Amino acid sequence: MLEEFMSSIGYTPEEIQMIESIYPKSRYPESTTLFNLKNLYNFFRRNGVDNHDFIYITKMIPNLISSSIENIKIRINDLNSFGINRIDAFQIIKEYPYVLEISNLKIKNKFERLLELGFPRENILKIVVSFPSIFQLESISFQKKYSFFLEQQYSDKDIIHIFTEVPTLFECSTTSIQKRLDSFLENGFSKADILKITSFLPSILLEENAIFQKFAVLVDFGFSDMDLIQIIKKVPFLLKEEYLIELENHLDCFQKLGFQKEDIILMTCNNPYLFLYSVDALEDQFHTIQSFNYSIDEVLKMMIHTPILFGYDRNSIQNKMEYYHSIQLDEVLLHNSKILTYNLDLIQARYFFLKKKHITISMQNYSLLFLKESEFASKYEITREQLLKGDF
Amino acid sequence: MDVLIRFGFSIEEIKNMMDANGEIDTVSDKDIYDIIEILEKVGCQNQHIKNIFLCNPFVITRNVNDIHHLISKLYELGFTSLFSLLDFNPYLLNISDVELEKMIEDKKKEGLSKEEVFDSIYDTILY
Repeated sequence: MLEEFMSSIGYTPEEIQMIESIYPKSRYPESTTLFNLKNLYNFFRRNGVDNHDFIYITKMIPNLISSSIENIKIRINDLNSFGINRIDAFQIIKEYPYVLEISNLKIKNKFERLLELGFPRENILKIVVSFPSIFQLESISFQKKYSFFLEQQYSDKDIIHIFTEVPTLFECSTTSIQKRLDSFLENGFSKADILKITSFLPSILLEENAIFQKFAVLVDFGFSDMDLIQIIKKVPFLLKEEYLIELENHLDCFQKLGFQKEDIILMTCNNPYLFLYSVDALEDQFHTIQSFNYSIDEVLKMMIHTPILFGYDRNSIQNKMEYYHSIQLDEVLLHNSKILTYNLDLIQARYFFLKKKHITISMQNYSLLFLKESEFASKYEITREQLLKGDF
Repeated sequence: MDVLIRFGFSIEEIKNMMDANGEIDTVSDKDIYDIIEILEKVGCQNQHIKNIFLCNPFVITRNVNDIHHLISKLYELGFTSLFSLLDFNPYLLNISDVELEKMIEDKKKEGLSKEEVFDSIYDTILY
């Protein structure tokens, strides 16, 4: 009977044998063991635990079969009292069945140590749900890890973020984390870069591979180590797998659009966000700008000079182009596309202000519109704020 | 995502933003609305906000408080008319207040005057 039931829910013959060795028929009536197991099974099933997880839990803690379901309910209530909801409590049991065996005091102790270190309760909940094995770690190690990161000059906010995102770091040795940090230094990153990158993507602290290996596609294309450092520190988002796997497509896309290798390197080092936009979006943006009556060569030149144009809203670009056309400066765009980056409200305000001062803007003096902030302010004694408010 | 549609983004634009930042669909409408509200408070009009979001879809998944702190820091340092600055450089919204302060300190250490530091931020796409 017992064997039949166990087999029906997915226990293998070896697993059945293991359970039967703990509950020999000679000592435990089969009907009692079956009754307890069915009760336990139904209880877990009602709470979202599937057969596979149920088998795992009973293999890890075979004693569970003979214990009362009430004990499990008490543990669920204990977890509830710490703010862990019922669904998460069962999730924790699935991941770490031993939570059913450890004392309430031990669980409380983990919460208290983390609270003392400054972890907000919501972060602690996230940590214990995603990494319930934390209950088996010594609380003293939390303080040690925290101090280690403080010594490395991470802020409290960053440390809390790092451990919340990657709680498995709690079980890593400080030596291995140090080794990882050192490998960044050896690759040429500054201490500040490392803080920024690892705070942004803490999982990188767990990886064995050298960081540049992730960018083999770029290295093969001709990017130097220094280029890679610039790219990664400007946009650490790129370290995420979803972007890394697209790098080759991006390089192909730029080449198909007509960019030369060295231009692609220059452009993407200047603005690594280009690797984050989708290939379709890049192509569309290129062709949209071309549709504003520019040749392919002209668009290539504009984009190389000002790669952020790949990102700006096309309506914003079109409005600026139309404005520069209306004041006869469209020719400037061909050799200085940077003027498309300036906020149009500011440029229009400057134009009107200068016009009011009887200065007519032409191809000869258009640079007045694009003077640096301080130069414009001191030359014409007017601030950006006054200009934009029309206070002149 | 409804908030983006109501704001006037086309399906294609939303798709582009999500292609760039796959985490957008994890953000609540309330958080997106709060970010829009912050940008409106610094003077951004619809076309500026659209430009900022399209160019830098990562701002949508930033913590609202972090953006608040950054904006406060910009004002505290003396920057004005922030809408024009953010429209010019939407990526600026990805840095933290602490990073901004450090960036400015570093520039001063390089020997730049306060005006030159301001010029560099008003005039250069910083990351």
